[in-house]
Amino acid sequence: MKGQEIVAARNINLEVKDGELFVLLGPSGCGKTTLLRIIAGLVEPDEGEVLIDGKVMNGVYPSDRNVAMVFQNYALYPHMSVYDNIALNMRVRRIPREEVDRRVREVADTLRITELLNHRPKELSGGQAQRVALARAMVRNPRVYLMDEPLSNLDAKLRVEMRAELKRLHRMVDAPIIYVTHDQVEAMTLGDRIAVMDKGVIQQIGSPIELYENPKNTFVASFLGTPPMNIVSAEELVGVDGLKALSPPGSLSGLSVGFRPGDVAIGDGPLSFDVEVEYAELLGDEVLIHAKRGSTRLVIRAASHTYAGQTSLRVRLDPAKLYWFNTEGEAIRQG
Amino acid sequence: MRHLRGHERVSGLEQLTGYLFVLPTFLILGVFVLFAAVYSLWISLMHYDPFFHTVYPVGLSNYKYVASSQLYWFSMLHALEYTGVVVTIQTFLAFFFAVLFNEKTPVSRFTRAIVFIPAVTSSAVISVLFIWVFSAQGLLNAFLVHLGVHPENWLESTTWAFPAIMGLNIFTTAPYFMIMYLAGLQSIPSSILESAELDGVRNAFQRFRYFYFPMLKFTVFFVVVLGIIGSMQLFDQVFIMTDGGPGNSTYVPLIYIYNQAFVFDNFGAAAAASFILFVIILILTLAQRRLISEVRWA
Amino acid sequence: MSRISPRRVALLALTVSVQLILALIYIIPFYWMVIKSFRFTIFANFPPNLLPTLQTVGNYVYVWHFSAFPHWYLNSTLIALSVTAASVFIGSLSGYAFARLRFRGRDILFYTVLATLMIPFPVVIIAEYILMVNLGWVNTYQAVIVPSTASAVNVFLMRQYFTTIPQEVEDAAKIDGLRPHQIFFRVAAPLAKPAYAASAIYTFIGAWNSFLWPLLVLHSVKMFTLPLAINFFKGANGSQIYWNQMTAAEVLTMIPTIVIYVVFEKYFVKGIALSGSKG
Repeated sequence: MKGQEIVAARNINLEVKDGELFVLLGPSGCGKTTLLRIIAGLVEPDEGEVLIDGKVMNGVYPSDRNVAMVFQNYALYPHMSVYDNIALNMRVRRIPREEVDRRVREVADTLRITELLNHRPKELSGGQAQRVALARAMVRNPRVYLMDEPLSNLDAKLRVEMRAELKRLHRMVDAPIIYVTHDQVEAMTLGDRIAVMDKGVIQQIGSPIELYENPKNTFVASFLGTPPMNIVSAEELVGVDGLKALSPPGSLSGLSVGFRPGDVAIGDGPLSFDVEVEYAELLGDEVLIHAKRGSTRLVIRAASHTYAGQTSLRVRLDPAKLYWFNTEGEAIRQG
Repeated sequence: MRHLRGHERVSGLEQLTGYLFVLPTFLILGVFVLFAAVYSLWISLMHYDPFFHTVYPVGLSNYKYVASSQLYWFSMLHALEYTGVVVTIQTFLAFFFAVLFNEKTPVSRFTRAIVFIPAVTSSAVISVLFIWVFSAQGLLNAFLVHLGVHPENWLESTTWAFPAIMGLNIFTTAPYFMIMYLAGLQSIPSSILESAELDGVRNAFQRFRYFYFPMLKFTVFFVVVLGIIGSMQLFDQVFIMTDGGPGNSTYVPLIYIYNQAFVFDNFGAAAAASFILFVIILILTLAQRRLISEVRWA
Repeated sequence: MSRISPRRVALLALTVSVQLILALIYIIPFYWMVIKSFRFTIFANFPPNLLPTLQTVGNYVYVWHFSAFPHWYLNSTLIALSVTAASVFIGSLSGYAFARLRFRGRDILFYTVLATLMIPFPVVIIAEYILMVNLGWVNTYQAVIVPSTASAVNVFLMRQYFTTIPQEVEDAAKIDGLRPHQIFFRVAAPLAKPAYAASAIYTFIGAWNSFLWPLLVLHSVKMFTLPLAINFFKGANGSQIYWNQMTAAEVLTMIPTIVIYVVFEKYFVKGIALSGSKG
């Protein structure tokens, strides 16, 4: 570890390490962008401290925090050329002209935008504009990169391409990247660690695999994974053979059972129950069966050949892949 | 855990910059509008002679003087008559012009530019030009004789001088307000009109009834209020063309105020007269707000 | 290709004719003014001869050489340019502050600026005139220029435009190390060119054509602006003999604003759209 910095906001302690791509993931309005803007210094927290390299940053002007930010809509200066967009920061810091030129060309080369340097932002495609925005951030060697949904204005194909590009750039820089997104696929594929946020509160922090396998609560469980985890009230499953034996001690009432769509199989046996099929989506080898158990909707992912279009099915749960949640929606750890 | 909250950061530098940036505006408007208005009010309660520096309070006697002046109420009635006629006609005419010139035709750009000429031209030039237009041997008569109308020396006639000035102002202000309507019309996204067409709104009347009028309500209100304020302050054309005559037939409040202050050196009465005018303008514009009650304020 | 219905054609023909007729009505007085400025005519003919004739440029020569016209032109130009430069610059500073800078009391201050629009000019002219007397500014350029250097309309118009610039662009500038005044001068102001153009055009035309206030504070003939000069021509030379020279003066007075109108036509609608839009 090459040193570390701590970002704290309110009662949430976030610690972001060097070289790490840290994702803030959550639905829109969850506070992730506010948190990012607090770190940038654009918003002052009502309480709590932001520290970079152990130094309190509260009250420090954004540019003096040595952070760089990449915005969803790129936020390029429309009246300046690409070159001037990248150079502005160094110019206001009165860095000598030759040095500015050298660094602009260097970063343009890294991002493969050299031939765009004399263009205006409005002549660029979305992907090019985002490269310029990245260049503008990288040219300064910031202590922290802040990225606010940088890929969400791009079309699907370009997004995949830029994701790979971001991975490449991430390996080139030492500074951590704090990356805000509402797209869990993006978070899972890019993030070294993810903080899932909801309603202004960090729900859970961990590596993608930790969050996927050990969600702390129903929110995290249902936010990660496509399709999301099924969460069924235990009462809907009363009488299912073998369920009580697996449940946490005490009454079943108020508990919920979670299981991922892929952890249900078609067929009879222990832990099986009947569902009514509403419709099925055929995805080639696999089929997504949207079904109902009582008033609860479920999704079952099955191999295409195992499903023949029945309107009611018997399905069986994998006993090793069950999650239990209490009345507050928090996960109950067993064993 | 409590919710994450923050406020937009406001640095001392930003505050300072803000105050510095608004300072010039406040100095100028503060002195020349706010202070001047209060100062005018004070003057209206004084006998005020700036040249001999004789200033002493006279209570409300300036107001009594103006209120009992037949000429002042005469001028006020003229202004109200003028406002009623001119604002009504120009509001409709400007709307008609806007809809007409909003239609793209091979000549629309060119013709619209011509119609707008009076709106960018000095009132002095227009007034002097129209002295001739309205003269006995002028342009208006030259056309009217073809229609069998007896030539008239319009501005020398106590019957026709004021209507002539009204006509001139409708002629010049309709294009000005046309631009306001055009801005409003062009702010209606074409996608709305297209989807309206799909909804079965086909003819111009329906388009007007369901789209232009409701969407331009704010503009109409604006045009009416600006029209009232402008009309009640009519001065340039009257001053240049008739100076209130013939026989006071074109006398308006601003001529009265001008004469009280700059001809008779009666500044107190002029200030009092201007305040009475202010109150009447205020009542008229607020009444418009009531009339168009659904207008949403920005 | 879609077929054009006969009804459409008839409607278009009607629209074109009405547009042409209106344009004709509007152009005739001005057309006649130009024609007349190139004629000798001492006495007006009736009915007037509306055919274009070029008899002389003497009226222009006279106006330019044998009156104070060049001086008046200079006065008008100087006053209108100063008012425009100051009012647009000051208006943009304040408009930006009201749109984007945060400081205590901002909203109250903004509503105060808007409230000044409710005070009609007649209410302040008496006090303003006495102020000029006391400052010793009567018959000076500053008497006309200074009170017009701030305009609530320009403040409002610029504010409306600045609120349309994406906040993120300014955030980026903040992170790039620009101080608030630098964000204004280097990012926001260059992006507001259309708003600058629109408010400059309206301010210039307003100042160029302004009549009442210059009439009150500019007394000597040498200090006159063009509208005062036009009025003066009329008063001093009411007889027929000078009418033609006056039309030359009128044409010369009109030229700058007409040129501005023709060149910047697109900003006229834009300017109104900005100042009329809600925010």
